[in-house]
Amino acid sequence: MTDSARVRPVESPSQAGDPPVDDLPKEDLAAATGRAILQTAGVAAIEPSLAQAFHQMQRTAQRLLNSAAPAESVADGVRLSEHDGRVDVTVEIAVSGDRSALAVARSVRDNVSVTIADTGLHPGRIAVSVLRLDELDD
Amino acid sequence: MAIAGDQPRLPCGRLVDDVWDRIDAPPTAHEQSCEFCTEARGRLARLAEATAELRLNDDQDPAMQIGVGVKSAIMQIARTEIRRSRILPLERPAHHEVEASLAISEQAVTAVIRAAADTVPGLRARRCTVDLDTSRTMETAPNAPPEPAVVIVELRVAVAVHVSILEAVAACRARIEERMSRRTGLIISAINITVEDLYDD
Repeated sequence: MTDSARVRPVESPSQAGDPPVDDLPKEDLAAATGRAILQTAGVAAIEPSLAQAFHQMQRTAQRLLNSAAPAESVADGVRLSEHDGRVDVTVEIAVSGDRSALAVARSVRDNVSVTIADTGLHPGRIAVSVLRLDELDD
Repeated sequence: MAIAGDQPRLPCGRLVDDVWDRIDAPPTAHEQSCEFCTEARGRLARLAEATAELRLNDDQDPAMQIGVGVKSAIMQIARTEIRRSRILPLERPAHHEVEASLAISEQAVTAVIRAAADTVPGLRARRCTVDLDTSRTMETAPNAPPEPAVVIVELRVAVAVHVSILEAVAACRARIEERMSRRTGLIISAINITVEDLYDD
C-alpha cells in the first residue's frame, strides 16, 4: 500500500504525549465508515458515484467470467480525504422507512464522526446527501 | 396507498427515461427551451458516450454481450446521475456556510410532493419545483444546532371538472405539508399551487 492510500492519524492536544497511532489503511477506514452508514436506521443503500457504478458493473462482468473477481465492498460510494489534519467524508445515500431524510442524515453524520474518532483520527466535514427516498405504503 | 413507480421526473414533468430514449436525436422544441431538460441531456450525453464505448468493447467479445442486467444497471446509473443534478440543503445554512453538509436531491423532494398531491381525488400533479427560502437564514447562536431548511414549493396541477378547485387545492396543500414534514424534515414557508388545466375522465 502506498502512502497516498493511508490516512495519517492526528494527535489531539490531550494525546500529544501518547505514542503515535499507526497509520490506518484508507480502505479499512472507508470500510468501517461504510458499515457505520449502512447500520444507521433508515439508510437503504449507499449510492455509488458514476465511476464507482461502472467499476461495479465491470466487477459483475468479471465475476461472470472469473469466480476469483473481487466482491463488492461496503466502502463503495464512501469518499474520504484528509484536510488540515482532519478526515472529511462525502457520501450519498438512499433512505427508506419512517424516519425523515433529515433525521437519517443527521444520524449518519453522527455515526461517521464517532467511527472516525474511534480510530484515533479527527473527523472533519461530514457531507451526507440523500439522493433517493424509497417508496412507502402510506 | 403505494406511491407509484420509481421513475424519476424532471421538475418540468418529463420522465428521465424519456429524455434518455431521445438522447441520440436532436433536442425537441421543449428540450431546447427547458433548462431542466437541457441540463439532463448534457449529463445523459456523457453517460451515452461511456455506454457506447462499453458496447463497442463488448461487441468485439461474444462473451460480453450486454444482458438485461447490465441495461438495468445503466438505467439505474442514469437515474442516480439525474438525482445529483440539483441538491437542496436539509439544514438552514449559516451565514458563513458555502456548502451544506446535509443535503437532499430536489428530485427526491419533488417525488414526495407529487405523490402527496396525487392522493387527492380529482387532482393530478404536474410540474413541480422546490427552492430554498433564502429569506430564512439562521439567526440562532453560533453553537446552536442548525434548524431544518425552509423551502418554497411551486406546483402546477390539473383538476377534474367535477371537483371543487378550492377544496382540492386545500386538501393538496395539507397533504404536501404533512408528507414533506414526515419524509424530508424540511419546513415549508409557502406552497404555491397553480391549476393550469381541467380534465374530464
